[in-house]
Amino acid sequence: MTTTDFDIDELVEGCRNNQRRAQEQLYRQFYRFAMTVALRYSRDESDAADILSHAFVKVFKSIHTYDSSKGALQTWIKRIVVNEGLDHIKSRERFSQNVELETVPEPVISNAVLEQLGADEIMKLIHKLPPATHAVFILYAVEGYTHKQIAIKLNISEGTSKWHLSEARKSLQQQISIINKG
Amino acid sequence: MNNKAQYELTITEKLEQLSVPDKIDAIWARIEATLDLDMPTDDGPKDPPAGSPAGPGFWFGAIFLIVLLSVIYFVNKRTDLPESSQNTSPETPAVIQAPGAKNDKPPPTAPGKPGSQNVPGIRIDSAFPPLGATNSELDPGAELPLPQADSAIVSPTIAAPVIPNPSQDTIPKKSRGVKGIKDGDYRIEPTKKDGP
Repeated sequence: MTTTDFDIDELVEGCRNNQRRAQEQLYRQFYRFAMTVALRYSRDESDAADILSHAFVKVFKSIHTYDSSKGALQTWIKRIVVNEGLDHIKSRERFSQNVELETVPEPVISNAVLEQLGADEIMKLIHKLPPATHAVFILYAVEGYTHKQIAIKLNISEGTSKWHLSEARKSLQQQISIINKG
Repeated sequence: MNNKAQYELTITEKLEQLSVPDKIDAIWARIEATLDLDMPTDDGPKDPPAGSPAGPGFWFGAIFLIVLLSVIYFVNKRTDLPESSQNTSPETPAVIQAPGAKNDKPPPTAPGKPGSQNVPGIRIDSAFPPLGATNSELDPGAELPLPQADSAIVSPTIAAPVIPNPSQDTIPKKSRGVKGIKDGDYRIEPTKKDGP
């Protein structure tokens, strides 16, 4: 057992005993990672702070359910932050099931242009997407969920998930084209 | 897991490099506040001083008790002033003159009571002869002249009031009783047993 694993286990045990010091140390240790995830589902830093604070409260309230044999603590925390991010998006827009697709067209998005853009600029492009489309795109393109998994998470059909992904790709293609021309 | 397009891989890599806002302390404050409400802890202060067994509640109670005791102490001191001599200054001798005496210089007054014929803490009613008056002003047969105050502390002993001989005109008296009736007429001699 490495020193880092031992420290995490100690922190988890302290969090299970509701020790505030252990909770704070755990939060500070995973702050950067969790905030990076939260920013993907937020419109701005204030939204991300809301998502993060709610997520960590849930982490500490349900720390007794964490089983180290089933996965790393980071993966477990990420799942909580993603769910909190999705709840945050749902509070802004109801995920409707109006159009469904069987297949998703693959618009051509210039990777070369994307390579030149910074992380903050790409995030701004994603923020321009409607909330539901934003969520589906992040879950599919960044987190790697399948449409089936997204449908279960967002309580929508697979067809609706595919439609949202298609809309996201079209919008990003348009914006990148504008940037490329500029 | 789905098969990502190249641009999606690029976006994922870029998003891993997002700049994280420096809100770590502010967000922790919010988390802690929520936890204190939903999951209060018995930890006490994060860094309690060494050897300190009590929390803020203990100190509030202790301060309140000290203030209360102080108030009670000072109130008791004020009510004990007639028997104490702490308010008497060396410049205020315990000489009390009877009103109308030859030497009509007003006696030194106690602080806080201007114009009063008071030894500090002693209140004199002008209808009665002042306590502690000198022998030359009272009946020579007066038993206990008050000692002069020669220190900051005046003896707490007070002589019993001596009523001077009414026949003497040294002390002007208000006319009392009905005219024509002598003082001897006021003597009551039990003559018979009063029946029911």
